[in-house]
Amino acid sequence: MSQIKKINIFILSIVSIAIRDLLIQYRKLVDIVSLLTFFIIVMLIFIFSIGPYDEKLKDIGVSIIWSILILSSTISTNKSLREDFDDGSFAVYQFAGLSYEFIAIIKIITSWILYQLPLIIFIPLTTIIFEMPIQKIYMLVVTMLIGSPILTVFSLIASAMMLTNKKNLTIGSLIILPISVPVIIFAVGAINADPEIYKAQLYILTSILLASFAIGPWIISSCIKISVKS
Amino acid sequence: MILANNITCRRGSKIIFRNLDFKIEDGIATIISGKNGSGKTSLLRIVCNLLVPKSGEIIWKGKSIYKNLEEYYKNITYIADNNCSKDNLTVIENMNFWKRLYGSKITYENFMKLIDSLNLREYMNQKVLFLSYGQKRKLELTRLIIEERNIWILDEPFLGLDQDSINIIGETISDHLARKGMAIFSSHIPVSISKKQYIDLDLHESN
Repeated sequence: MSQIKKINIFILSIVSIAIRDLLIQYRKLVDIVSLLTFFIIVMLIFIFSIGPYDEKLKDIGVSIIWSILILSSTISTNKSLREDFDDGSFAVYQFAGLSYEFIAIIKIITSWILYQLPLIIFIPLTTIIFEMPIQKIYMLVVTMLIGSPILTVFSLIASAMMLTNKKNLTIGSLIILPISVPVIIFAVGAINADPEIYKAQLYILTSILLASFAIGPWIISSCIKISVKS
Repeated sequence: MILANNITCRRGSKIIFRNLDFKIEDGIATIISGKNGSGKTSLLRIVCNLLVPKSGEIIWKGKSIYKNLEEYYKNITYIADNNCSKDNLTVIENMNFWKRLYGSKITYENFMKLIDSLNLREYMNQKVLFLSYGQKRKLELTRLIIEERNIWILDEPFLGLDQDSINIIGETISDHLARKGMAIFSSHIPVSISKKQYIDLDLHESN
């Protein structure tokens, strides 16, 4: 009985952190709106620079969308880790008996919901500009569902590495961008591939997703531990 | 009882204090005093294992805390010098969050009594952003009651509070000590706690 009670308390405390993070961000909705605005503006800049040639846009539309997705994941390197570090919340979590690995997993889930889910809902609407066939839009959503958690893990790793560094914020993007290259290769590859062979690319993308889930929380938590104990 | 054995603390290249021994007994408040930069915060962080000392160890229940870290964490309330309440949440939301996070069994009546005793009732549904420094600090100190832990580690708990609130917190600490609790805190402000011992870090200063 006491074991069940302990597990109940544990689940309650994890859920309470997740709900609080979502609530805080919900009250600062302008962050998410500005992210979506950034997305549209960069997309329009691409279109203006290429010119109104339908054929070209149809070909490279997917590549543009995925590039902006990676860029937006660098600018939205979420502040939730930094805020929790600056006000000492990590010590509070630690003394509540939660390990940093669990906190990292919660942060991955909440920041995916906050920063990537709006884009996944929003991007299919913007593809009207590129006049894409419906089959491609469908594949775009599928690759985004698989690929965006990877970007979330990478951006959290970067922001966890930068907790004690308050000056040079560009380094965060420098960490994320190179390791996101495989994601964009296989995601765009899967969308542009022939219907017979696209599955192979999706499988590779999924394997990257699972690998990042397997090691991501541990990297994030050890970065947090180093920063907290310094 | 917590024993600190031969602790040396180093920040950067400077050794702040050397070979410090002390014990924190049940029922006696331990007050750390010393100049600015004498290592009060560092010592408190070492006691709750947020900072690793250069040498020495903390012993709790007869064992080094490293051997029983999870159990030790579950006995600690640590209130740092900055406030961890979130600006965008209301006072009551912050308190409810701490309650759920720590799985506290505090009853609704006690919860309301706590809010009343610190004069926070009319600010209950106000965002923390709009509170004054002293009110934020009082909100932070409600964690002492909400978390229901045995070892209280407080960093400058009285800073920015008015005299009434200082007395209330002092009484709360006295009550806690009477229930065989432990309390260690750093403070420049004299408090009316009958059983207390001092650790003067100026005596352990090393150059």
